Amino acid sequence: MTHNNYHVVIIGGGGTGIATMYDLCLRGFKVTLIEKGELTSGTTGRHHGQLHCGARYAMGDKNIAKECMEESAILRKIAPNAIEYNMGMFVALSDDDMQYKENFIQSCLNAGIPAKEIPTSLAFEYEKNLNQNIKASVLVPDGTIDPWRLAISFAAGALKTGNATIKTYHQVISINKKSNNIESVTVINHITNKKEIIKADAFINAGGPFSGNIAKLADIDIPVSPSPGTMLAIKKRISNMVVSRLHKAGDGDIVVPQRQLTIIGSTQWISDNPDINRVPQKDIEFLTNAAIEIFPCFKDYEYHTAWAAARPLYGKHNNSEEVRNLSRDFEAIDHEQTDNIKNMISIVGGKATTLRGMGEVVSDLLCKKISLDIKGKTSEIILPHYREYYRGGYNGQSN
Amino acid sequence: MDNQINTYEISIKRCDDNYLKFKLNLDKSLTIIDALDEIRVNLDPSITYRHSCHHGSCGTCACIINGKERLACMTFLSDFEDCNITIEPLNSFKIISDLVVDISSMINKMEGSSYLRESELHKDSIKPYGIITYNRFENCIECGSCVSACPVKSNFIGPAPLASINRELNKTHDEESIKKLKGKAFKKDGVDACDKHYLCSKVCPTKVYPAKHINDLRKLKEK
Repeated sequence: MTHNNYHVVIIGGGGTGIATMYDLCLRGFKVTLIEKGELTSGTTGRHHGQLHCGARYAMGDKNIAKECMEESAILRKIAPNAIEYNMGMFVALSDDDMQYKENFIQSCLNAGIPAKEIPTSLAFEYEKNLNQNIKASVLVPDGTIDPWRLAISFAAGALKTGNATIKTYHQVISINKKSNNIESVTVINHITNKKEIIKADAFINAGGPFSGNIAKLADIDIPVSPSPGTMLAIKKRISNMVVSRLHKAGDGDIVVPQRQLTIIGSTQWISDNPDINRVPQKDIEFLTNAAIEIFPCFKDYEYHTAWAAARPLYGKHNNSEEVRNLSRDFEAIDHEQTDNIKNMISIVGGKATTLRGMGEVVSDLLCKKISLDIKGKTSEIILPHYREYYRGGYNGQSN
Repeated sequence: MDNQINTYEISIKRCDDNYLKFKLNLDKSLTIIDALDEIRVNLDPSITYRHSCHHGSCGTCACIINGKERLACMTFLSDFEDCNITIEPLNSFKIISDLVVDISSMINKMEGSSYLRESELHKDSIKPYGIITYNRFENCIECGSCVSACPVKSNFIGPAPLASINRELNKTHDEESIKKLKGKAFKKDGVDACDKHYLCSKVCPTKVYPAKHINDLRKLKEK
């Protein structure tokens, strides 16, 4: 078998699955992406849209921070139509925040993030609606993502290679093994209501918060905690930059502007059903108050909506405090090593900013497993315009 | 927000033109997307609809709800007095399945290589080193509502594409591009095909007001 006929099935059409499809297609693999709904209809589409430069993670995990810095710079280069790049600011409001500041700036610099303290007077020049009582301000290269348009730019890139088939509204109902090899998946096509069997040489589980359920179909247990959080928006743009609270990552400490909206995120709890994420009533008041601390005028504008999405955190945990401490890192699990299943990989954890990097890591792992020396190229090629996705074929029909 | 559980009867138009009816108890603070998720997860997994952001930014979930084009994620059950709600796919587009339509006929006519524009906020203030202008995404989320609501169904490029031409004319200074854009706007299926029903502006969920853009183009043509 030549590698050009090597067929990979990816389960899950969120940011990770789509970016993995794109990477493998560029390397010459034939890829079929299976998604039970519309692309990014799970977690990816619903995130608050912060393009993380990594500063938020600098104190906790230098490697993640470094990775975010590198990946956010790459995304700004390859997907300019899907990013509002106006930089970001961390603001200190309390004495505790001020104490946090010293190590924060050094940690950012250690991770390669050009964090820079600026006089508060200048911070007000940049963002006139900021709380006038801020004690310090640190500038970082954050931005805002349009998650749908970023993801479909990657999908457009994959379709352009001619190697991708995207099957939306197709749900995997069984994973069919023969001894220690997966031969095929059985999917139900929700458009025709018919079952199909899709054979492949390798299978990648990129189900995000659903990846535990998908692995179960292959009798594999992987540690993932679907961990939803609430986001809330008002009908007014009150800043150009992403503004974060200068303290240890917690609930309600990031304000993300986007189009005509301002979004405050988020909270965190544990769920066993990532399909239904109801907004807890208490989150509305909590998030509104948290936003008012940073931007007092937040209260003056009309409520837009609040929504929730389940983060796909790597690890098994039972309470939200434990989950807050869980790493936002991701892990590509080779099930040959962990479960003696030769041709399946699960990619768990991570976040929107690192989608490209996650796709590259999974693709590298697959290449290594089948002893192919092909390098990823996704960091060097400008993605097609997101509108090209619609031109490439659409909704369960593309190939 | 006050909570109140009501029994809703939700009718969803399927590709075969039949309506599937579902009766379910839902909190009136929920949205149409929440209701569709509830139906798909608990009652009928074969229901197909588009959705992604759940806050009115991606534009995927536009459909016709009780006779009017709306974003399902920004339409709350409490917006209706009646507990009977009918959900139908957008008009004017090829139906793929249930509420899923193929909007590529509109997307292919959209102008503008950049989806970004200058932010109106703090336009004249000092900016950090490296930022020349604060930028932001366009208001138009390309949801197709205006195209669906427009009564002119043939030989018309459509409200969203015309609005995109006008936006682009305001952005570009390149004479060749301006000439091309004007050419498209002033063609037979351009501004002249608009019958001034203004429904495009009425249904637009993000205040693009395509009719205003079409009017700008009309004035430009008459100049």
